Amino acid sequence: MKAIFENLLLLGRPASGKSEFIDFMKKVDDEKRAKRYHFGPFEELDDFPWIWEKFMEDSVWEKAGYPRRFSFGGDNPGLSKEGGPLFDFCMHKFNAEYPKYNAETLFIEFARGGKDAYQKALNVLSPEILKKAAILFVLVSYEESCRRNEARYREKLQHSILAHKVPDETMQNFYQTHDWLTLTKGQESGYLTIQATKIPFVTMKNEPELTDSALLDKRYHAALQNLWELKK
Amino acid sequence: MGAKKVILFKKLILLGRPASGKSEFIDFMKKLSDARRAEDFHIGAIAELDDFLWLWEKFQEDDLWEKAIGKRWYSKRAEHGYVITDGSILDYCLARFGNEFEKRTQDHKTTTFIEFARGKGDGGYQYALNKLSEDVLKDAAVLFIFTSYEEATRRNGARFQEKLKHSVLAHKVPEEDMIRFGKEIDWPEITNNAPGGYLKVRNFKLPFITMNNEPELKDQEGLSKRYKNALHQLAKLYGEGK
Repeated sequence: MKAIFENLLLLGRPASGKSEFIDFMKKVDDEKRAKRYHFGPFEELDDFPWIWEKFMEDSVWEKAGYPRRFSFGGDNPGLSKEGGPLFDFCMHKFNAEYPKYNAETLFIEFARGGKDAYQKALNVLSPEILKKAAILFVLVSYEESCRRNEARYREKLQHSILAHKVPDETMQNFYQTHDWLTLTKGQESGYLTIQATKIPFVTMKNEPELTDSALLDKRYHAALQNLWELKK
Repeated sequence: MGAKKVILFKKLILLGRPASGKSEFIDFMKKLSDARRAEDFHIGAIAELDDFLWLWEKFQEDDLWEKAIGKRWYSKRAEHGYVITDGSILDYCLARFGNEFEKRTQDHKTTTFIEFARGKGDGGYQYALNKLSEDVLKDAAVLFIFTSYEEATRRNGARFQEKLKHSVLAHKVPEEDMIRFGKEIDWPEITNNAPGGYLKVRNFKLPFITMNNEPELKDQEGLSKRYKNALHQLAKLYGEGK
């Protein structure tokens, strides 16, 4: 049996570094990625494109003469307060999409906020996903998440007028707090029991921000090695 | 001597009751060579915008919404498919035609099919055409594929039986939606029962042809003749109307 993760649930605030993590893994050759990080050739399931699609649909509704349903529009659309149920929808969409994928490793990426954020979300995932899952939580503070969100946006603006960031209002409404540390009782690693399935997790502190590949490698390797020890 | 200039429709708005033969028309066109399609039918490279696909997407999303929040937005389940419960989704589709059209790169060699059906209860074709964006209406022609309600219903059932032979997941337009989209239509009224001519839609003069699609033809030669005849007439109106 190959020593690789099948479903890696990649959690953490917006701009905490989940996408950077995936980008990093994309640049690593298959052999090294499998040996050092325990990932096979991978595919991604990320709910952000589904949420974004709803923002775009809202603009169509607006053109049709109806109110927007989930988002506020403008140059930088974002989730409005009324859009919260979209998070529940996306969890069910993960379940619906999951059978369509058959990569050796699947990254399932999402961010949730609020009192029961991850507890609620993880409990919606199907047993098929959960029984092959391990969780890597990419931890940054709310302030750091906001700072990176802004910095990433400024960087993108240099290359495209279509740059987008999670709007401040959405950050404040949905991502200021989360329940991860409560859920894991403040442990850096261990197991969570979700729907009677024991799932290994590691909380990877992703501060200070690193951009040097060698340092990122060290951080990622340490977290994933720890997670693999729990998983195997 | 220059080559004969072929008129190509930039946009062909393809209307008609569900199961009247719109999809069969498109399938027929797809199987032709580019040259023959252009010369005999005035249709370029094919691009398609069909609101059924968006409706189906919303029906399936409703399955997820039902699980997520215990509520469906636009549809209810029906035997072999779904039924629309909130007509606002049809307005959404009309707006989306414009949106999708904007996203596409337009060229002079492409004909975009804009395909939908509307019943009188939802405002009919008069209402729907008026809701289309300027981008969609500009340089558009309308082909109305006419079958009676009874014939559309018969074909809907027959098509379903045929699909069932290949997949247990076959679906058909449920009776409730057949009634909604096809029982009463305003097409004869808005065209004054004329087989062809021009429709005034906002500031646009849209050439149209009503193609009688009965009896049902399956042989390619018969279909070719029927389509060719209708599209030649339409191309003539299209050219003259410019």
